[in-house]
Amino acid sequence: MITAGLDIGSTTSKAVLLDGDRLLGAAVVPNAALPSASARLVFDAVLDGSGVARGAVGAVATTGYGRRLAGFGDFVITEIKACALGAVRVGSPRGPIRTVLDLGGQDTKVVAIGESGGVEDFAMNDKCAAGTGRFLEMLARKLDLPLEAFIAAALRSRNPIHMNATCAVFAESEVVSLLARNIDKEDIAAAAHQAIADRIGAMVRRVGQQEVIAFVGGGALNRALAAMVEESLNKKVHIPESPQTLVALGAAIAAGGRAAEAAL
Amino acid sequence: MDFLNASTPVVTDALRPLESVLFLLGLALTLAGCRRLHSHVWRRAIPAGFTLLFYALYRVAQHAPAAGPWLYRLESPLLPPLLLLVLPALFLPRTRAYRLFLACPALVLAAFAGHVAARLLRLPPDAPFAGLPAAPGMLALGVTAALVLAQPFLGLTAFRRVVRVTLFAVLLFGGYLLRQNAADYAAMLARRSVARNDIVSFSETTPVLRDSERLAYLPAAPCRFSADGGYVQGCVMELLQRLLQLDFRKIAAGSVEETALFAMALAAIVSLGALLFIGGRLWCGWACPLSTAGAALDRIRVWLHLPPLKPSAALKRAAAGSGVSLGAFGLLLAAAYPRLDADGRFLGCKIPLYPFCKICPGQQVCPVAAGGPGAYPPLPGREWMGGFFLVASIALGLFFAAAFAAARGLFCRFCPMGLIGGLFNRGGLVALRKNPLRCNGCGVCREVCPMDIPGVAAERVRTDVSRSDCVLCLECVARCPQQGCLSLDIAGRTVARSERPAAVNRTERSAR
Amino acid sequence: MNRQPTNPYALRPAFSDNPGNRRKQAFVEADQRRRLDEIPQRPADIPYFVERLVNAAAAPKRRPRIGLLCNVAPVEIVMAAGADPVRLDCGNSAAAVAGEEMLAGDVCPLAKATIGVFMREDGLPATCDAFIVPATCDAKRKLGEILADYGPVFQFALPVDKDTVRHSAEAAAELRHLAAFAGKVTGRAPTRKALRAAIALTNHRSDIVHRLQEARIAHPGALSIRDLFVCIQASLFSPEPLETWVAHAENLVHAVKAFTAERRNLRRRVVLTGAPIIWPNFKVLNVLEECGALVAADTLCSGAQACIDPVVLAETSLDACFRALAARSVFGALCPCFSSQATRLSRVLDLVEKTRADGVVQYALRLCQPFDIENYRLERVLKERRIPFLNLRTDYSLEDTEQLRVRIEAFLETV
Repeated sequence: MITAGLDIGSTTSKAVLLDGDRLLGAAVVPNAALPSASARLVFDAVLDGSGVARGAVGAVATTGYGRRLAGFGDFVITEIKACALGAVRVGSPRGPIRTVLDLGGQDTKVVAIGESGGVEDFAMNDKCAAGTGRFLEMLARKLDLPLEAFIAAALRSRNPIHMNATCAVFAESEVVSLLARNIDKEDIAAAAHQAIADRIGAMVRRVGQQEVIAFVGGGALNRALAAMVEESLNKKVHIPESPQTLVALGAAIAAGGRAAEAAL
Repeated sequence: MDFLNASTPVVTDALRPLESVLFLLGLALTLAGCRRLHSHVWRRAIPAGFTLLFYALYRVAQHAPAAGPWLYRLESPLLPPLLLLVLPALFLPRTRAYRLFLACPALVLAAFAGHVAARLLRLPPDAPFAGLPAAPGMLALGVTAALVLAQPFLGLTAFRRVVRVTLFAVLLFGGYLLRQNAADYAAMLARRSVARNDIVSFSETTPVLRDSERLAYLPAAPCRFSADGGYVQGCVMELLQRLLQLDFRKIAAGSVEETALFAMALAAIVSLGALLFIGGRLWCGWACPLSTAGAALDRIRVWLHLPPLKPSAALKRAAAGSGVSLGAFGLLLAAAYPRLDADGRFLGCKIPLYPFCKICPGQQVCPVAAGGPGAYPPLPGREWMGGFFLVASIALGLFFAAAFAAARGLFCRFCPMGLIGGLFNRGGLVALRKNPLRCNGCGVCREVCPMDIPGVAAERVRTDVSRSDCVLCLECVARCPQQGCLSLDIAGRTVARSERPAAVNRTERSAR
Repeated sequence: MNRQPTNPYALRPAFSDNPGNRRKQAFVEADQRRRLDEIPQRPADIPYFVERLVNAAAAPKRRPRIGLLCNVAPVEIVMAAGADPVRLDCGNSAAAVAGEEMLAGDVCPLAKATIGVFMREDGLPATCDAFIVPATCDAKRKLGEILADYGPVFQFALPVDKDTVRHSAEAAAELRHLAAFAGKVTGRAPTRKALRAAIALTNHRSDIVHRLQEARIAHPGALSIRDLFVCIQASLFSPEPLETWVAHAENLVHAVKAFTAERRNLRRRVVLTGAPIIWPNFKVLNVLEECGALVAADTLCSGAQACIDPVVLAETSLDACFRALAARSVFGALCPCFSSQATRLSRVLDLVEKTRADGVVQYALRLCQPFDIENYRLERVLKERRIPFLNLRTDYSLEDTEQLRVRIEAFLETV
């Protein structure tokens, strides 16, 4: 049966079409004003992209912060469970994934996966911008750089410095004072990445850092961040092929499972 | 049941001890204990040892008839029916099937009532115990049946009160239970009146044991100073003194009388030891007449709305220490008895028979409790060991009264019999158990404990909270407000358990 | 006899005149009432309890009234002195904002909300003649001095651990002082008979709550946890006489016992532990029940644990009454203000066993240090025993309701 998983996040929405073990298609779209509109958009995008008809989809599962606001869908599942399901399916060359770090636009999650593939423990940082993708976006704007250039600058840095601020709002003022002292933008960018990496590292440590550790979500596309997280955890992290759609994949898997249960 | 017949095949020979009720009891307890594997292995080994001991003793008796008779005297035809009443009452779960069982004590009680009626209506003068309203055996059965019937209707505290009062009456007044017939009883009374009260002669305290014609009844362990001479075997201290007062030189020389006395004392100690193994300090909390008499003093304090004294750890240690030292001293003096010279002196000091009994408060309390203030015995004169016995007697008597009037179980910390019994609390069949998950640390168990034991409340890890100073009064079990937190286990089976105060009405009533 | 030194730095009691905040407080309560109304299948007596709890401030004052700030102070002593006891802890998030005028930011929200309600001239504390503030935690200890500006305050110490050998005498002595204080306030010192009568009444309440808990353990769907809390808090947080509460609560018990589940209940059962959840701060309970969890039992001092333990009176003396009250109220408390949390852990494990719960949810009030630090051990012990555990660190404000929902949903999906 063809199932679809929709991950309606805070900045982007993702969708995945699954037919059993075969991945039919995936799509990522920036959010519209309302979650229901974003859901429609991303669903249409993935159907168009894979050439599957709407009626051919057997079950749809929604996840993410807008999971109950999509306006359609057969099942609802939290992004934590979806994350675990996706990670177990995707796996890594070094072995099964036991810890997933999901760095999203407005929140960060760490999910510890047990031996049987279920969620053993999880932690979320969704009340504070520090440690989320939003932090880097704000500081990139402050340095007057597009996000890609901001990341590239961080990679080029040769003189690491430390940022003191843990709060995103205070970090903005600290960036201004650093610029005033003529610190290179590259070093500031690197310091910002380091600050997030430290916070994320602490969160992963609290939940448990069983190998293999996977890094997913929008933040996983940031190579500078990935490198610093690895350094902070002192372990190599695995970034799957399509890190942004892992949670949507998990939702699609869940849809299949629930539909099978309901059929019994 | 002729044990002296030696011409039997080997197998039936080996199985003869099955005729012994005490052996069967030990076997049953061993099997019961083995089923409950959460008990410490030591507790399971005790009944096994008990069984083996009785087996061995019976085999000895079979093959050495001369040493045998005293062993058989431990048996009583009353034991099987009593056990059939008491053991199910202890161990059967209180389901609807229990009401079926209650038919047994009801029948026994009816039979007892009929028996009493028959005796009152139609009394042949030559019948055994003609002067008494009930044959002793029937009386024992009737009382037990009544208690078993009453138990389901009474809370634990109330039931204990009933049992204590009943046993107080039985132990202090029921001495005649163990006389063969009324003539024998009257003869004993006659002898008593000429005996000197400060030394009761040895033969007067001879237990009536079984031989081919006379039947013995339950071994009992009251104080030997019950007024009507109803004494069979004394408390542990009395028996130990008796053993020590024997002249082993005479026994070695083959004196028949001395050997017979030795055999009797040994028999009594074995049976008392068995009781202690089975019940630990249950005797203290449920049967001891001193404790029941003291409880009467305690009730005066309660009636006056006065709080009890909580003894400090030092005071508790001092009480136990004095108990040990005075008890040991008394036994030492008893051991000197065979070496008394013609004057009754040893090393210049005049030592009485049963020296510990001389100072024990039981000597003052039991006669008064049975016979009223007029029966108060004369105190020992100043000539006994330079006045030591007089002073100690008065001091301990006052201590008894003060301790029970003000400090609940403080005297029980002193009592040497209790101290010996306490050794069996942790090694015997009785265990006080706790489910630490249910405990919230409120300390009510310590508040209600007459011995002021803090260990039960403080225990958070282990399930066995038996203590050697615990008198197994079960007040903590009765009062703990957490369902199933504390319980009493006998041979691994739970006999009583803490319940939440059942109905509001009862709580309101108890609050008045 | 019990003369407290007069404070040379006493201030005039502060009152607030913020109409916007008052509206917000009223809105918070009304919102919670609306959510209660959405609970399906409520027994017939519930409206009485809701009214009694919500209109506590408007209850007519027939006798002297003494306010209490914790479960550890035994209400029996107040009742025996001829006063009406009423708990003044507040759970209104808007009141916490009002309280921030006096208590700066990083302080326990319960303390802030309580101060916030003290600052209302039409609030319940304004009708009280005296206050009893046990020094359980740091916040309450210092709050006592602030509240002394509003009226006579009696503070008493709690032992540091549950060692009854060391501390039972002290605890009983503190309650004696408490009784003397209450007697001075009302002019009628508690007598032995009055104490025993009060104890009989609260034991009746304890019996009712026990029966309610047993009925809910058998059928958690018979009564919503929010209704249970409303019922219990209606007796604690309202100064109206306890006798009327008892009469209605007996009816409630019968109704709950008569409940038969229509079909086998497949919803997840959880045991709730943690900081007090006080009306109208039912945010976590709302989310738990809306996500489909059944809270089968709790260890909260504002829930069943508040009055489920009876006072065990084995002796008749006045001293015995105080000792028994100390045993029930002080040593029987599962509060993290004691140095060892073993008894709370035991109770959680015991309840998990009894209710066959699927997991444990802890309501950890943000900025409550004792609960925060106890979480270290609770988490690991539950993990050792493979009991799923969710720790919710949140304060009074309703802004993080959705964040809580995600966590609770994820937890329920995984147990």
